[in-house]
Amino acid sequence: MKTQTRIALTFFLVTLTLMIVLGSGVYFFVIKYTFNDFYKRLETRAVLAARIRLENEPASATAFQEMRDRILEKLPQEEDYFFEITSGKDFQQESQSLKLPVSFFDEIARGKTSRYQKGQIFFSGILYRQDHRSFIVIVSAENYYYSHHLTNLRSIMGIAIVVVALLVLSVSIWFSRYVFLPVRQITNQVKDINSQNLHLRLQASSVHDDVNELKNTFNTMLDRLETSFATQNNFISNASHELGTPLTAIIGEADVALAKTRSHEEYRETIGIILNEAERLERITKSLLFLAQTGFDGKKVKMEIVRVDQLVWDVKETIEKMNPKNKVNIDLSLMPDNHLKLKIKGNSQLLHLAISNIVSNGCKYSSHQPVKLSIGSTDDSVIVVVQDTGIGIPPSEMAYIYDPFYRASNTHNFEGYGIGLPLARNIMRQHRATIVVTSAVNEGTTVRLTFPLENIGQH
Amino acid sequence: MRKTILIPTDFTITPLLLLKHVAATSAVELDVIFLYCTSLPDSITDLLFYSPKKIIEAAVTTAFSEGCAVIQNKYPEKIQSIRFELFHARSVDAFQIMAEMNGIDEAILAHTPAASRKQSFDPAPIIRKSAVPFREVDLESHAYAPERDLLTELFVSAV
Repeated sequence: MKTQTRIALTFFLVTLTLMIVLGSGVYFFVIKYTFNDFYKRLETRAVLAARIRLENEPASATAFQEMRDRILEKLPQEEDYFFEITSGKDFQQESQSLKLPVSFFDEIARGKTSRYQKGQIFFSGILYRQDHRSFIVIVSAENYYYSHHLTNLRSIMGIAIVVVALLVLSVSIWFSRYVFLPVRQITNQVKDINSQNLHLRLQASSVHDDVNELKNTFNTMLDRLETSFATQNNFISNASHELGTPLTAIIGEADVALAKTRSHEEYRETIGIILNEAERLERITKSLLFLAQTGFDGKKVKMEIVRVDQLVWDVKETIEKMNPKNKVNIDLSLMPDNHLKLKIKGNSQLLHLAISNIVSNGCKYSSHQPVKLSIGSTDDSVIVVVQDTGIGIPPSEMAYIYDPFYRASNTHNFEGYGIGLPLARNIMRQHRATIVVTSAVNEGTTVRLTFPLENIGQH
Repeated sequence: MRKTILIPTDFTITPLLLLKHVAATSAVELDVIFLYCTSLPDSITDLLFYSPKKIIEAAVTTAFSEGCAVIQNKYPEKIQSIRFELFHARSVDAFQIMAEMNGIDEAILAHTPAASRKQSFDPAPIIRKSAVPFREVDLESHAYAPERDLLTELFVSAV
């Protein structure tokens, strides 16, 4: 069922239930009131009838008779009954003749007024005392209001409920359509957007409401989609270029070498170049493979407890071994003495790879100026900061630094493939760590890595 | 022996560096009070629902409190406590009363004037005039760059 229909139906049912409850309430209380009123009228008539019939003074009885004839109209099927109460009487006979329960008579004999309804005929009885004699006076009549007026009320209510129900139904359908109009518009607009025209956006108005928020959310999502599409396209072209360059070199060298017979040294030189290029190709494919593996979330990485200070010293050793010109200074001025504050959960090889990628970038782009590595920890995280004094990243290119194969415009003099930082970012993501890069052109780049602290208790 | 020190804060890098410097050089245990100086709110509703706790909560940035945590973790036995206090008045007397109530032994100031933030003011002139002992620390000249990451800055700036 569509949400629109469901809302319309809910609205309709709720209103209908309310209407029915209201109608039945009104009907119930009207009935109660009418019955009460009619019984009271019957009681008055019973008193009057007893006065006329049982009054000792004839003059008074005639006056009552006259009053009744003049003022009170006769009710339909009005009947009066008089029974004298003598001791030991049990009203069996009377109750059978009038088809009334004995309790009805007993209640009157005890001095109360009694009421009874038999179909449309209503009975009301009172006790009347006259000169030490007691009488039961019963008046019965057809309740005209019950048989006619209430039927009328019932039909009015029935018709009213049906009419209102129809009205509510149409209103609720209109209402639900009205409410879902913006949603339908969004659906229609989004339907028009596909991979061919990702530049299209939903038209958001300046009103600040939920629908607009939804539109804006869609638009930002489309922004991201568009960027990732572009990144993917860039990735393929960049990857082909990066892989193509060494291949072209290899093919060219081989071609030239094969063109004619060469000396032994020339062959050696050619093969040396080919080997170099092939090694470069291997490095690229290896790092690509790593990137793909780390970028894939479904793959479980073996996590263990790693001490960050140990990791950082290992990285320093590796970096300085890689190129003796590299220099890494470790700043311990903020490192906590408590080793519990330095333990994180992670895969040490991957973390080593990530940090050494960042540090070696720092060495490379600062032409082997010293790179500072600092450690510190808050109550729930460990922070590693890598600072270099290199060429920096232009602010306009900060957005692309995590794109594979992307290389900033000022890196032409440095060798690289643009895989290190995306790889580090993927590894950080796997470790639920964050990476923040701040940079100023020609001043240096600072990378802050924040790892969640592993809570291993006080042991 | 314990000492209560006061550091005026504008939630930039400067008070963090002051804290780091003090903690590194202090020989005694420290209770640190960061004093946030700001004018009283102007609007009547703000005054009606005035709550120092909320004002401080709104002002303390995550980066700043993380920075505090880093320094506290570095000197856990030196820094016994860190808390924030709000100060509205711009008079020496009021400052002295506040200092007395909080039992402040020393105020730490930076040579460089604090960068002014909206609604907050630099209490350094008041502190210099007051009877509270103060110490001025010469931080390395430090360009205030708001777009930079505060935490990163803490690690990068050496004192």
